[in-house]
Amino acid sequence: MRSRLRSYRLLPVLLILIGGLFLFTGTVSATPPPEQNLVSTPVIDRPGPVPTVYPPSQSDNGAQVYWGMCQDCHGDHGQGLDAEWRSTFAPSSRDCWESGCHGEDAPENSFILPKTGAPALAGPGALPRFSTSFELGTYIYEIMPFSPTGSLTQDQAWELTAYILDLNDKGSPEITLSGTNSAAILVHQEVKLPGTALPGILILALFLVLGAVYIVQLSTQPDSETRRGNFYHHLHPATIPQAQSRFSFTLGAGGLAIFFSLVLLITGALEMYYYLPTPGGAAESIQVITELVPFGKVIRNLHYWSAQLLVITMMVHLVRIILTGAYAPPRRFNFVLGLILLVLILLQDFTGYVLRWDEGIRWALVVGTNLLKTIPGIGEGLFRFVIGGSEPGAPTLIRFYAWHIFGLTLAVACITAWHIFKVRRDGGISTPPPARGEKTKRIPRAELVRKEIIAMIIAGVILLLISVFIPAPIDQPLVENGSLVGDSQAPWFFLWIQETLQWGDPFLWGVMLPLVAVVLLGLLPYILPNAKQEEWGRWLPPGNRLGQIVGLSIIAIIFLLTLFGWLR
Amino acid sequence: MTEELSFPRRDFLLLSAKLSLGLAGLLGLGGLVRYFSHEPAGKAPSRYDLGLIDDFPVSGELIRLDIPAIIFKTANGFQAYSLVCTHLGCTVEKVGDNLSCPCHGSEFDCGGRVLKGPATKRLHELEVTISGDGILILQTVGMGK
Repeated sequence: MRSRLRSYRLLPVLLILIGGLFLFTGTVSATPPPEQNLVSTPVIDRPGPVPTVYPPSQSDNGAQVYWGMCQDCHGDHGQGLDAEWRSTFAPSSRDCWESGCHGEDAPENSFILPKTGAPALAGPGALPRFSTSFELGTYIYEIMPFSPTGSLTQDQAWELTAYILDLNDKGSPEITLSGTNSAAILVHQEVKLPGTALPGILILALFLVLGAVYIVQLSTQPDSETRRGNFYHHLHPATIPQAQSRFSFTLGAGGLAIFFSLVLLITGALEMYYYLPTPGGAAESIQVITELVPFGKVIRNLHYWSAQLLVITMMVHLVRIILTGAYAPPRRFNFVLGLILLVLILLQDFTGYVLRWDEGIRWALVVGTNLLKTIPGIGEGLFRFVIGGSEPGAPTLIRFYAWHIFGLTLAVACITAWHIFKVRRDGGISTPPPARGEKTKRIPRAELVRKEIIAMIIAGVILLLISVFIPAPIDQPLVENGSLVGDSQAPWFFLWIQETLQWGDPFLWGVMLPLVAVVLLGLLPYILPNAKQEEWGRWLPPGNRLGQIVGLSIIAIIFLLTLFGWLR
Repeated sequence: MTEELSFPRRDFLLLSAKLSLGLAGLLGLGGLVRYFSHEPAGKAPSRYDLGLIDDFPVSGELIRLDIPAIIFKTANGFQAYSLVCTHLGCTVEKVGDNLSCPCHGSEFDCGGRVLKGPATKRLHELEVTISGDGILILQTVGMGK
């Protein structure tokens, strides 16, 4: 017995040591040493192709492109079209501006070189107009090569950007530049990439599981239910009927929704320390959170995934309430409160989605706000109120930000508190009345709290694992008068509206239909027969059969439309 | 068997549960410290281009508020001083021949020496160099900005 105890005790110590090691030293350790037998281009051997180490890095590929397309003007190591570089040309070509190729009488297939020549790409003072690699890469893609402009592919532009960063000793071999990360990589400053968050998160999750195991063990102790509770215990009723805590009845959905809301509150607050709510800064700052801030990617993913899971959990909760007839009086007003919360959370998801301010949200923002315009009478005013002007821009972003972090959050917090209070006021979760002459079996709050904590730990660990392995969507920063690169698919929770919009008049199908669906759901307990009290506390009571059919049909249609849009 | 235990199983389990969750919390806190360790704002440049030496104002004095610095052309070359008051960092202004701080009234002479408190340290002297093609370059290393 004693030796077993000791090994139990050693485990956490060992784990914290390993965990701490990863957490606090975490830098990228998996950089293999470059192979030594291949050397990079010696400057004297100009001009010659650049040898690469297999597999070639993005910068190596960029060097190849550079050698073929850029070095004639920008020099073999990015020095620009200076006298030294021109001295390597054939004597007749040394003065480019007067030569036959690029002078005033340049032939058809050539071009006239501007008097400024070609600027240096490397060295002090080079690239003064660019701050981020995204700006540089976009410029290269759009403007370079000087002639014929636009002949580079997007990939080649990123490869060249990586190569130019390397020429300036600012390259990071661990990162492959693209539209979704280059805004975080500065041109003039070396960036320090954080290490991988994986080991730290896994060890944290392990401790959570270990804690859960000990708590379960603790519950087998004889006196565990009679001890004095702490503050958290006191937020709960002293005892509740056992029938109210059955997982097979509640599915734990309500509690889970509260848990996800708390995760959203905390991770959202953390994101606020880095997020810049300006059109030029938003997408860039999200890339900084994702790429450069230690654990930033995990925090953003946690925020994203708990938001998605919250919508799903709330839908499950709604279906549970309908299929158990739990909305019967006195709980019908609380049912309406729950529906209002669902609508508010969908608005939260939409505003949060728009805060990305990248190409992925372009059309969703346009469609979503133009939909408001179609409302007769108030539409135009509502649109201007939401957008903060006549077209989306900086005022739109700051308004969505204010709604997301303050207005809607405040409303959600208040109504959630009301919703929970009403659950208690209405006599807890709906349960069957006790059989004649029998006493209701009750559980102490210690057991309820324990169930809650275990459920939170399980949900938390699953959420952590999802967030470590599945990244939240991100796209390249939104550019003004931009192209058609944007994602034309609505965010998934509005895919069903995108489907109905294809059926005709936008006001009818895009505004009225969703409104009618929600109102109809809210009216279920008021206009259709309800489950009788003796039917409470079980699935599919005959009393509200009609309500079950109507409610489930509405939700099934929404689900199918969403699936349809998703597969499209 | 139970007699041999040094402390009851219940206390041990409670302690272990608290320890595990506490360590998880501590790890989370460590992550939080690292999360906040990132500095989003870049460093200010340490090198400024002051333009061609021939374009220097004939008054022999150039004020660049973006640095902020004042550059004098003297008989023995260029001299530059940071305009950041050594007291609490306001930008000092040229008043008459002297430099005066609008915030707490410190005064400095044109050589950056303190004429009047509360500042006790003289203004930082900056290095001016002339590049190969006749461009004045100001280095702000050690300016404490």
